[in-house]
Amino acid sequence: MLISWCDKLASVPTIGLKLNFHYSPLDEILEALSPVIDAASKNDKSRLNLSQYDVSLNAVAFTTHDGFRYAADSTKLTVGFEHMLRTRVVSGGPPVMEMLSRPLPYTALLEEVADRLGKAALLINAIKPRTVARLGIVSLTKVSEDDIPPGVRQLVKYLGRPWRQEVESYTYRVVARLEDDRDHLDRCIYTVEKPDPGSDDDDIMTLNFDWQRLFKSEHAISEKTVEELLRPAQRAALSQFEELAEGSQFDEDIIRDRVSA
Amino acid sequence: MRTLSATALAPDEGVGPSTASPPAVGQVAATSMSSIPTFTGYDRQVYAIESRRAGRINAASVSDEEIEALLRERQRLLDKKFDETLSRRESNRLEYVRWSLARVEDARTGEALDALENFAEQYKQFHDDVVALADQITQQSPASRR
Repeated sequence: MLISWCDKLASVPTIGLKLNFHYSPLDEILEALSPVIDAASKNDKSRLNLSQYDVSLNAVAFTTHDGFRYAADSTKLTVGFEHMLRTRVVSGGPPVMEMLSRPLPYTALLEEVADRLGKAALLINAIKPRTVARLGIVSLTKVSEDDIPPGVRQLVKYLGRPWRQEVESYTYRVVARLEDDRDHLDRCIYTVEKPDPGSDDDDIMTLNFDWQRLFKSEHAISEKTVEELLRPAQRAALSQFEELAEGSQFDEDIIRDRVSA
Repeated sequence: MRTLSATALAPDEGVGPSTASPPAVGQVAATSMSSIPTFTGYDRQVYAIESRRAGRINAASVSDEEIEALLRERQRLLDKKFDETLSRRESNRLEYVRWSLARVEDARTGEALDALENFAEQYKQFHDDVVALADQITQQSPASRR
């Protein structure tokens, strides 16, 4: 079983597919995804929130009460996880917050999200056969600066050099190529954000690591191809996130040696 | 506003859907099929607390095999360090292994330490209050009025 630092910081995953363009009315997309909506229902009630129904963007999104967010438009299909909270009334006291979603390690959630995305892709494919041009895997982490992995600390330190580390808040975003081979090109979109001091949540950083695989020739969606695309991508993304957390990528000595070699 | 995906910051580059602002944690759109209240303004803080708790649950559930593997790797890297054969890359790996073990330790003892810290803060506050009260009494005493 794969393990990751993301497990230890309760990171949450999102996996997305970029598909070839096809316009389907929003109701048709929702109808195609009706098995998902049915599965989320309980006691004759749908247990999800429709968070987007945008005709101009032709985009629809909903989140099940156990925290799985589905989103689709004419070219994209994503499934992610987010913690769901609600207030619970208590007798003779103020209401308390209750978590509806179950906290699970990132790697376990990633497996679950991948399974759900695979099934959703087949449902969307039933409207019209589609092809996959790109696949992305995201790790989203909310963490105190004291708890960030050493590699991310190195990254922040590396970027703070011009200001002698006297950086109060920042939003760093990097889009970079990782690997280019015959079949695909891998790239990363990393965003590291530290809010302004004095804001309510100034000690909580946001780490958003988005690993993407761009296929040089598009793959037709089928049960087999979905499996063949998703599993290696999960391994590659986790491996990239691990490398990032270790920090050798941002180690000046290693960078200097590589540049001079 | 936070986004679930870096892709949402740049819809053209990402895999996410075309949405300017995905819902925040616990937030529900007006079109919600059933009603969960919104917690705008509170969501991030609550999320952080719940994330830490969730992270601790996850880290505490790390198997003994993984901890053993981490301890063995730390020992191996420390041996190399004392032999002065540790490469820079291995040194970074050592930091990462230490961090992983610290997370597991925090998960196993963190709640109790947080409670202890909370008690210590309460005692400190109590001490400050007693000192303030003593100052007030001293100021009001006949000796100081003279």
